[in-house]
Amino acid sequence: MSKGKNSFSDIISAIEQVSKDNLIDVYVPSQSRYVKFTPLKVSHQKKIIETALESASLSPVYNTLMSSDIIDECCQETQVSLYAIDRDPVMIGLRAQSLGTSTTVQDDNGDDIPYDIKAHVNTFDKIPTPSEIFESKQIVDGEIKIDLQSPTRERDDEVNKRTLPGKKDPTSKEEIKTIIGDAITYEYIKYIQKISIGDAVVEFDPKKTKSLVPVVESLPMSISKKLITEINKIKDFERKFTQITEQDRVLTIVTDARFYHSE
Amino acid sequence: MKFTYPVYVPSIDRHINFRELLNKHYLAILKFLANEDDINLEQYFNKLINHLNDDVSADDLNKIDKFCIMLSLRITCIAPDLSLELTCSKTEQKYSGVIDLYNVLSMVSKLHMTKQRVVSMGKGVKVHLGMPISLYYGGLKTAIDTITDVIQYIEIDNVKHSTGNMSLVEKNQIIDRLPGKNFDKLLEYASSTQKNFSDLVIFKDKSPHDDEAEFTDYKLGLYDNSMLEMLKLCYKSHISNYYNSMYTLCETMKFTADYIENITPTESNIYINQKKLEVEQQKQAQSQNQTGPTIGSPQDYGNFQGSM
Repeated sequence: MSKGKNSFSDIISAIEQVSKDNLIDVYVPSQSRYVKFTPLKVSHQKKIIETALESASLSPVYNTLMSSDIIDECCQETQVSLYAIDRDPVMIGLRAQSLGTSTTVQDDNGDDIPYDIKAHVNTFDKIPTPSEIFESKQIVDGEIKIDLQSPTRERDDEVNKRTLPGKKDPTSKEEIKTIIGDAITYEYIKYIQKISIGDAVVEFDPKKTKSLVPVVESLPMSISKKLITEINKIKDFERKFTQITEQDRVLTIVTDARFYHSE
Repeated sequence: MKFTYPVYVPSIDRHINFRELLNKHYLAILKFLANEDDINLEQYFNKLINHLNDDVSADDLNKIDKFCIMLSLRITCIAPDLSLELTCSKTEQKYSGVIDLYNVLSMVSKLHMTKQRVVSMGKGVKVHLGMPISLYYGGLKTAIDTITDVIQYIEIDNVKHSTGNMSLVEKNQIIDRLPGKNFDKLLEYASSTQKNFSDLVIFKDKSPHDDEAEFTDYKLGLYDNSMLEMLKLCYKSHISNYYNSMYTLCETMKFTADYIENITPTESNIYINQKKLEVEQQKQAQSQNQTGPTIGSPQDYGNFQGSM
């Protein structure tokens, strides 16, 4: 071994070259193929640790936004447009190839157990992607028509960002109920493209999330149930990537800070 | 050939001969302190270490080595004690305390150093880890960024790149780009180096003006600026005191500025104290012999010692 060049810019160039020379293939469900990514870097690890220190009740939102930032930085095919349901499979694939496949998953009781996800990740490209998952749909209930679609990653992030300001950890049961209720409303906003009632149309611009909350909250229960049914179809597809079904148990991969602790 | 004295360097477990810290070096330190310029003060300490010895380079020394060396210089060339003026938090009355710097030096020198370690970051990249090297942590975005101070070399495809002469900001820009595998090993290593410092209490303070007061422990940490702050406290003095003393030595004792710059603060104080004694003796003699008013009055010699 020899002592090489010491200048700062030389080292940066050498490291950037390592990144370019070591692109990894990560399966993206919406594309039904592998897409080129750079491996996870230390900067991402730091972000993950910082996110873990955020408030407990909001950490899923911070995790989601953090994952989006990482995907933006690592994805080498800029023309590829990802959906929200791509986020977890992509992060799982990135983790497996960057940090190894030994991690922790949650069992049916919510307990963390050590697990090797290699075999599970290898099944991703064998999971068929139903085309209707990403197609627009319309729900009709009387005069109310709701156009919905599986949200893109950008749309999902826009709504998530607008759920954060002013939020604090709940200190009472009422506050917890409110947070859960709000989470469901925001989830609907992600999927709904527009609502038509007769000639009146309300476009669901994610940048106007706060103003759309009363619209969603005023929807009748009958249409709300239909919404849940459609959203659950998409969520069921998403769970094929984040859940591992074994003979006697179902394990869940939770992509929080603990998931990225390397072997 | 100049006078040298042995200074213990913990990382190499032996004594290295150092030349004395002179007034011209001390004046530079005072100016950095007066300017509240921690960045350049740290760099000056590194340059001073290189300048005052012929055997080791500051680039090869860790933070504890540098702290011990600068503390040794302070003890030998200025004074072995640090006088503190403290304020009671309850009564606001002032009281004084003294830190025996030999005791602090002994405690820090004897600390167990974590062995160096190599961690693979994946994709042909390895990092060589050792005890942290920077006295000053500034300009960093988060506390996590301080742990990059344990990185001594980065090895890329068997080629070693030293990071010893880089700032922490530059090190973080480099480390942020490395593959993320085993980053938690860096955290574990940093944590293991910190273990020895968790109980390093260098001074206990309890106000004599408050019977209910509890002892406050003053500790040194590895991943903060506490060691630099301790050194600043050791070297701190009003810069005007230095110039007052220089004036006294030049004006009354006819020393040249060049001579004064090239003696140690301790030697300056010896001369000044001798002059003070002479003036006091003269005053006593005059007051015994004369009844009328004296002509002129003694100068205020100022204070060279690093006291608060």
